[in-house]
Formats: sequence, C-alpha cells, structure tokens
Amino acid sequence: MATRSSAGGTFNAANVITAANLNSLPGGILAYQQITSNVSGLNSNDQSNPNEVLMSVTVTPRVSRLLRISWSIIYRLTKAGGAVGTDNVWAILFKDGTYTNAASMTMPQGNRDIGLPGFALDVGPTAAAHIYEIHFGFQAAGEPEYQVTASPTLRSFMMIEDVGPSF
Amino acid sequence: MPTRNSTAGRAFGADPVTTTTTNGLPGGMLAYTTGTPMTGITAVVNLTGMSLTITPPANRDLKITVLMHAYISSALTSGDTFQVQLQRDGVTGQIWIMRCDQQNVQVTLCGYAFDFQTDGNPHTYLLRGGRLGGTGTYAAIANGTALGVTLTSWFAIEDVGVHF
Repeated sequence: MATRSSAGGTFNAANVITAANLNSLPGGILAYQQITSNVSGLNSNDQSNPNEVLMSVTVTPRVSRLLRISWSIIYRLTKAGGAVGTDNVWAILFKDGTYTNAASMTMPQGNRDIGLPGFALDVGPTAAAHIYEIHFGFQAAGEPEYQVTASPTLRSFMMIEDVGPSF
Repeated sequence: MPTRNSTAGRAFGADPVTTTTTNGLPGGMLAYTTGTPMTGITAVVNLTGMSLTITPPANRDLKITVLMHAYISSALTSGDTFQVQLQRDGVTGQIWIMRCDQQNVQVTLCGYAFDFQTDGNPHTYLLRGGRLGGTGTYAAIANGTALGVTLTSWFAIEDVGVHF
C-alpha cells in the first residue's frame, strides 16, 4: 500500500510555483490507440500468439512516474463452437513482451457485442521506450472464434496516462 | 450536471501562472494497493490489504478505481455471483457484481466510483467481497500467479481536480 497527500489544491498563494510543484502533478494522456476496423478470426488460447495482438503503443515516460494503462474491448462470438456460460475470454496486457496483467470474463451471450474493460498500473517504469500491447483470446480448450468490433459507437481502445510521480 | 472547461491547455497562455491556476489541476494518484491473496470466501468479508487511508486537501474530487480478480474454487452452481463493496469509513457507498459460471477459472471485476468534495480530514476506503448468490466458495487473486497466469488486483484513489 502506498499513499500520499495530494499536490493538487495545496499550492500556497504566497509562494512561487516551481518546476517541482508542476512535476508533482499528473502528466495526462501519453498514448492511445483505437481499433478502426473489425478484427475477425480470433481463435487462439495461446497468450503469446502474436496473431492475438489487438493494439500496441510505445511510450517513453519520464523517470519515476506512475502510469495507468486502460482498455476496453468490444467483442462477440462468431462461431458456433463457443459455449455461452463456459468460454472465458481475456484481454491480456503485455509490457515489453512480458505478461503483466489481464481482464477476463465468461462469455454471457453469443452473437452480441460485449464490453471487456480493464486497467493496470505501472509503477516507476524506466525512462526508456516501452511497448504496451493488448492481446485477446480465450482461456479454455475448444474452438470458439471471436471478432473484435470497430464502429463509431463501439470503440475498442487502449490508452496510457501519466497519473503522477511514482511512489 | 456541473461542467467546466479544462484548466490544463487553457490557462497557461497568460503568464504568470498563479496558484489558483495550478490548484485547479488534478493532483494525480494519491494511493494504491494490491492486497494479498485470500481463499475460502463465502460471506462478505474485508478483502485483506485492500484498505487505503488518505487525507486529501479539502474541496477536491476523487476517483476510485478497482480491478479485482477472483474465481470459484469449489461448490459452483448456476447463478453464482460475487460482489465487491466499497466502503468509506465503514459506510458502503458502491457495489459491483460479477457472475461466475466456471470453477477454477478467474474472472475480473472492473469498477469505478467517485467521492465528491473532500473535507480535508482523513478517510479510510475499504473493499469487501463475498458471495451474493449461489453456493460457490471464492478465492481472491491479489498479486501473484494464480491458475497459471500472473495477475494483479488493484485498488487506487486519484485526485481528479478541484470540486465544482
């Protein structure tokens, strides 16, 4: 557990605002990516399968910062081989090729667009280029096949924010 | 519904930057925890390690973010549901529910909550979790490897700006 007081709202009117003050605040969004066309034929339960890579962004954060990686995947079952209430899908976060975290759910309905959100924190990544990827697949054996949907109203995306200095 | 223009990207065109300007910006992440693994969860209990005590300045708005991995370890039945409660100082302010249809397969709950207009005093935010429906016994995945994969559950509190 890590906690601190907020820098926001605490700047004294009698003081000069310094660079250190501003560096104590969040830096905002660093990168985002949206799926702009449907991605079909997602049928692997191999978490390392590169065919499952939906989105990838590369960022070079400042040193000692705290990053939040958020995503929302809109998917649907497109093949009869899947079983509602049995097959689990997951969106997997990779950082520099290493499995970092995931969000998963049991498929509640077939042939419907379903949202799968998630987020993760990256505490103090080095001030070098890092590649963050969202992979998508299913967890159990079987032959289900999924499509990740892209439309103006159904947006699968990932984004990376600088949410303040690292603890 | 209160709305406003963004402070960042708007006010810095006119120098000097004032404390009023900078105090209007978000403060960023104030606290986070990953908790510890738990097993044998049936009734709603405090989730170990998922407690944060903070003292933000007064008149700020907070966003609470939860990503919770859990699975049913035994006694699965149709309609099993798991709930996560967010408490502030012992009072439940938000509940999230997820359905669990398979045994020993982890599912993820992702939730957000807001705490508007802080009062400048310390407050304790706590996650509790347990069964809402069905008969399943649950395990909560905190930070580590479970079911062959590496997963981290997060509970985080963020200062998202001055209150309206």
